[in-house]
Amino acid sequence: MQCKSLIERFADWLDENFGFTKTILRPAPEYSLRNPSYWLGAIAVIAFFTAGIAGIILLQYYEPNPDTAWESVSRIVVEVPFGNLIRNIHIYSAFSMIFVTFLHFMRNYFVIAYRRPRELMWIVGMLMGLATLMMGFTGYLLPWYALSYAAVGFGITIIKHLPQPLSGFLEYLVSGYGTDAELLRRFFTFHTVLLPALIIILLAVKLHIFEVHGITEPVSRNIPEEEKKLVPWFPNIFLYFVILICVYVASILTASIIYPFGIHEKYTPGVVTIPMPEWYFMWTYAIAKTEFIEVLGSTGFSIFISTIIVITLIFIFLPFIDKWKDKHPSERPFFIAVGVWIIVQIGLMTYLAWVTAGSYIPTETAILSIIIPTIIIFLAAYLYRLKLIKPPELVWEKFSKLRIANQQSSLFNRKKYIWTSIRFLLSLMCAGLSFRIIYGSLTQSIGFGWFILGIALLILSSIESFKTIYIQDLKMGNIGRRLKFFERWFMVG
Amino acid sequence: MARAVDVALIVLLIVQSVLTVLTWMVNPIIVTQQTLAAGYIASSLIILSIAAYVYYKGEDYDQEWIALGIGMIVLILLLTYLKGGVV
Repeated sequence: MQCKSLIERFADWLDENFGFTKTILRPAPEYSLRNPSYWLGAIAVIAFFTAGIAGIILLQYYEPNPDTAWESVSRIVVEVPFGNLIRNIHIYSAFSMIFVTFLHFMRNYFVIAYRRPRELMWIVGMLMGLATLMMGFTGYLLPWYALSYAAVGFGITIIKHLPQPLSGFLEYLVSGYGTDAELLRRFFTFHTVLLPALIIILLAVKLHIFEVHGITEPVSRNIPEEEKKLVPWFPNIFLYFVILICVYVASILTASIIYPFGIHEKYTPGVVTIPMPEWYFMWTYAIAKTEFIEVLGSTGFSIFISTIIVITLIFIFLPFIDKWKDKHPSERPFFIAVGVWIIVQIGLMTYLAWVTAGSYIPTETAILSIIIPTIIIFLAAYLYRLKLIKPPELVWEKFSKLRIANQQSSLFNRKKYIWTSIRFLLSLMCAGLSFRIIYGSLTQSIGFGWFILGIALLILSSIESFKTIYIQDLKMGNIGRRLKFFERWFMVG
Repeated sequence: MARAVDVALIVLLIVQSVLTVLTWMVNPIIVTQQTLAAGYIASSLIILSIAAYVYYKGEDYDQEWIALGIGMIVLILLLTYLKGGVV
C-alpha cells in the first residue's frame, strides 16, 4: 500500500469533512486551466474580497465626518499598526478589481461570450462592472482630500446635466440636501454597505448562471480533444485558485512596496484644486474638458452625458442587439474594430487628460485624437474584409517538430536545471534592478546616465530571459507548445 | 515529489511563524517595518504558490515557472531592501 504524504492525508481529512470531491461546483475543461484569461472574472472576485477584508479593518479606524475624516485617515497611516499597509492593499485591490473587470469585459466582448444562453449572465456582469466603478467613485471621496472633493463635485455636475426627473433624484440620492456632512455620510453608506451588498447579490446570480452553463466554449477551432476533457473542481481547480490567490496577493503587496500611496491635502472650504478623478475615470474627464464641450456649455454637457448613457445601454443590451453573434470573431472584422477602437480611445483620452491637467483640451487635438485612430482601425478592418490583409497563419504546427537532434530534456538533469534556473533568476534580478534605476531616474533622484543604463540592462536581461526559455524549449521540443499557448491567448484560429 | 512539497511547506510555515513574531515585535508603525512585512508576506505567498504548482503538476511541471517564482522572490526581497532599507 502506498504511503500517503502529509498533504494528501490533510486533503483526505478535509474531503471527509466538507465533501469537496462530491461538491456541486462544476468541473472545468482542461484547456481553461491553460489560459488564465478564462479566469479573469475569478481574479476580479479575489480582488473584491481582498479589498473587502482590508476595508473592514480600515472601518475600525475611519470616521465618516467632514471634520475628522482626513484626520482619521492620517491616523491610520501614522499611528495604526500596519495601517498604511492595509490601506495600500485596499487601494491596490480596488484598482486591480476595476482593471481586471475591464479586461474581463473586453475579453468577453471579443469572444462573444454573450451568445445564447448567456445573455443574462452578460447583463448581470455589466451591472457588476457599473457597481464596481461606483465603488471606486464613492470610495474616492472618503479620505476627504481637496482633490477628491473637487472630482466628486465634477461628478455631481455631470449628474445635474442629466434629464429631469432623473437628475433631481440622483442628486438627492448622492448628496442629500447638499451639506458636506450628508454628502460624506451617503458616499460612506454606498461604499461600505449598499454597493458591496449589490455586488454580492449580483455575484451570486452570476455564479449560479455560471454553474448551470459552465465556461463559455472557446472561439478557437483548434482545441485538441484531450484538452476538452473535464477536470474536477477539487483538487485541480481548487489548487489553481490557491496559486491565483497567492500570486495576486503577492503582486498587490509588491505594488505597495514599490509605490505606496501617501496622503493628499485636506479639503477645507475655499481651497482651490484641479478636479482630477482617479485613472479609471480620466477618459470621461478628458471628453468633458475638451474646448468644444465647454463652448457649448450646458448643451455640450448634456450631449456628452447622453452619449455615455446611450453607449452604456448599447453594451448592456448587446446580446439582444447583436444579431450576428453566432459568427466566428474572425468573420466579424468591424465588430473586432469597435472593441479595439474603444481600448485605443480610452487609453488616448486618459493620456490626454493626464498631460493637460488643469487646462482645456484644444478642439483640434480632441478631433485629431478621435479621427486618426478611427481611420486607421476601421480601414484595417475594411481591408481585412476585402481580404487584402490576412490573419497570421497558425505557426505552431510548423514548429511543433523543431528540436535539436540527440538532445535530451534537461528537466531531469539536475546540474543543467540548477544552472538554467540561476541564469533565469539573474536575468530577472537585472530586470528588477533596471526598473528600479529607471524609476529613480524618472523621479529625478538619480541622473540621466542611470536612465540609459537602466534601459540597457532591461534590454539585456529581457534578451537573456527569452534566450533561456527558447533554448530550453528547443531542447525539449516545446517551441510548438508555447507558440500554441500564445496563439490561444490571443484567440487566433 | 509529494514528500519534497511536504518538507517545503513545513519549512515555509516555520519561517513564516518566526518572521511573523519578529515583525510583530518590532514597531509596526514605522514605514520600514511595514515594507518588510509586505515583502516577507509576498515572498512567502510566492513560495506557497510554487509548492502548490509543483503539487498540482506532479512530474510534469515547467522549470521556468519555478525559476520565475524564485526570481520573483529575490526581486521582492531586493525591492524591500531598496525601498525599506536594512532593518
